Amino acid sequence: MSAAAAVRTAITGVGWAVAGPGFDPAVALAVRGMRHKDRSSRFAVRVAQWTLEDAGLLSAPELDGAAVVVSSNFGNLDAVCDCVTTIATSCSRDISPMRVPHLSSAVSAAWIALNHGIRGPNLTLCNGASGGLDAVAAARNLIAAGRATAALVIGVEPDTEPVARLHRETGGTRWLDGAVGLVLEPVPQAESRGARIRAEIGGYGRAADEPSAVRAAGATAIRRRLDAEPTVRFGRCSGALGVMQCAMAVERMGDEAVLAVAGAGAGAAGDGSGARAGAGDVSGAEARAGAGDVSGAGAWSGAGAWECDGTSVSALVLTPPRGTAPTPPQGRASTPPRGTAPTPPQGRASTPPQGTAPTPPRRRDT
Amino acid sequence: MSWEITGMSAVCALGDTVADIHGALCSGRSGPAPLSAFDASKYRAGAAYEVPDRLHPGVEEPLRATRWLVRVVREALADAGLPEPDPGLPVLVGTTHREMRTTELWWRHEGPLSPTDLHFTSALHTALGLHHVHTVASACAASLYGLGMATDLIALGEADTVVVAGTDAIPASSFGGFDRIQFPPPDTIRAFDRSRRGMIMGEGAVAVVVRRAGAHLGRVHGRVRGVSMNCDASHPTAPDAAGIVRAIEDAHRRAAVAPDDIDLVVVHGSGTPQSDLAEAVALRDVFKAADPGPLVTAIKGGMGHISGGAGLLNLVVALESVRTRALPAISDLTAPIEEAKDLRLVIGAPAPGPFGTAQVHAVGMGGINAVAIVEGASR
Repeated sequence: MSAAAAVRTAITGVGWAVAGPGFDPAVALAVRGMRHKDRSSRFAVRVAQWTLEDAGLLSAPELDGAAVVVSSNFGNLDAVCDCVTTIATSCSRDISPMRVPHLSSAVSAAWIALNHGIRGPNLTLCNGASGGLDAVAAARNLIAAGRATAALVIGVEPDTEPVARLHRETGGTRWLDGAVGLVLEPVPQAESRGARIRAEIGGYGRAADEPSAVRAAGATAIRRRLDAEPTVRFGRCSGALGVMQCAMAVERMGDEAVLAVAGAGAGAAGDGSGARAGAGDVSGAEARAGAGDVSGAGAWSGAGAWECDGTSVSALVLTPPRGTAPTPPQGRASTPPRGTAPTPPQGRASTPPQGTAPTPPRRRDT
Repeated sequence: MSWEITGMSAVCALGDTVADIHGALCSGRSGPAPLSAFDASKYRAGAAYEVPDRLHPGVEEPLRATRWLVRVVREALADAGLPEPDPGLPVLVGTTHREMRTTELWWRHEGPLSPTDLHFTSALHTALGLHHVHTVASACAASLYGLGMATDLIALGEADTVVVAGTDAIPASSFGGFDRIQFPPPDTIRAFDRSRRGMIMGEGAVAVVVRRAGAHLGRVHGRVRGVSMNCDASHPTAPDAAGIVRAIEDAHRRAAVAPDDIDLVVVHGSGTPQSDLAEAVALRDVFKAADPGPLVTAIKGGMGHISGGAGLLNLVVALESVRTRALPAISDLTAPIEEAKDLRLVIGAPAPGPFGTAQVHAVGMGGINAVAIVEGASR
């Protein structure tokens, strides 16, 4: 076991901000401080607040030395394409200065740090389909290396004009418009502040193919598995996929470890065709889904994840909290929130369980 | 703990080896060239520091940042005596713009784009068989963030050897964005000068091979003593001296060095009014008790701001300066700002060594900072 895996790291907060009927971030998130932010940053900033509230860390002293880790592949595409259109049709003088910071993929993470005074490492990963799981592992490493007292991990992918065009051109029919967040912190710290430990981070592996990644994560014996379910529910999740897998696993954590796999599927050998062949097959994924049934291990297993880069696969194990009796998932959803700030009701409606999940994603206003 | 740098490679407007780039800096070569592939009528600035490698001058090409990355990673691995690396070797690629230039061409219907073009796993897998690639997009601190993560991977026992790289090609969007907010456009980069007007974009790539100390018996270019990574969390765009001070002090603590141990500093030195001021104030604060304090230089006047790779390029130039005992001067610096008057700025001609320990900075938009402490090698 590596030193990173030997440092026990807990997930103590989960947050969701996914667009849907009644939740358009361009409108619902057009509140104070959001006016000049791009769609990706609005999602990221909103979900950061909800996730920190869920963890009971809003305005907590632990945030000063915490890390922000964002996974996103398409977050800044609209700003870049918008500017290049302006230049083509006019000239650089007509670019809005407020647009300039959003040309950087790192801007969402920087806004979050600014809003909450999070002064530790500020990391943005754009790793493709495996990026969300890689971000969770990177956050765990930042904690294990003594660089961060806690880590706020955000997966965000906005639905913007260039993003939609890129998905359509590559066979996509549905894709995420939203963000999801997790709080990671060392188990002793979580215990000492009385935080609710939702799960612990186990092994992590990355490889060129799925069996090797699962082996590298030390997860060959794990029966419960989560891979395509976020894609089934929301369409392509891209950089948010792994974060979403973890959030879903945490919300349904029973007494068994769960393996999340991202980036697997046809094309994993590296011919690149998987990016198109694998990722677009959302309808096929839906046809095969019955993934909400957690009663049996088989229901958690998929024939492979359906968002695939054709380049690499990541696998991450989440384990139930140790030393506590397993609680039925239903019990967790009713736990009173720690935060105080109200959440717009639209946020709750934004991530319906769509009849498959036994518990809805937790909201701060429950 | 320290980590050994056993391979290096770089390409930018000034040259395509570390030694050539350092030599060009020492000879005072600098200066941007007229825009070669952008429509100059669209911008107020007419020049940038481009890598002059387009097949047909004036005709844009996709995937240049990827091409340079593959090249420098291959060269750094060969330099380290690892021409056929383990496929699971981690590669941490720092980048500000990824393949946004290719994205722009696609958006304008001038070329294709695959989602796999937006990170570097696919290209490095195809070219070198490497699959454990991270595309670290922490603005212009990204490659030093990659270095910090690499030292962590080795310290945590997850790897013995890691490649750290940086790459960026100039996108029209960012070139236009800076053109919009910098007026009049800067004619040169004059770090710490009273007359400085801003930053000029450059492009290029850089890579180093980092190994666990003792894992390698061959030549060593230098050692990484410690790397800090943090965020100001104080302003969306303007750097904050306090955040840079914290980054420097954390790097010193990780490296177990005191301010008096630092012989030279290669600053971020982007030539913008705010960033240079924040760095000068931070250095003044950290080194106020050091006697005589480190020499301070900046290199962006030579190759422009190459964005994601900038911090790592500072690092390889610092190591080459230690090796050759020649630290390049800050180009076009004649009248230092008040806040820098107590710093030992290298002006006019290269400063002669010997040097032992160097400090290098990267200050990214969004208040994202990283500082590395490195030392020269005895073998």
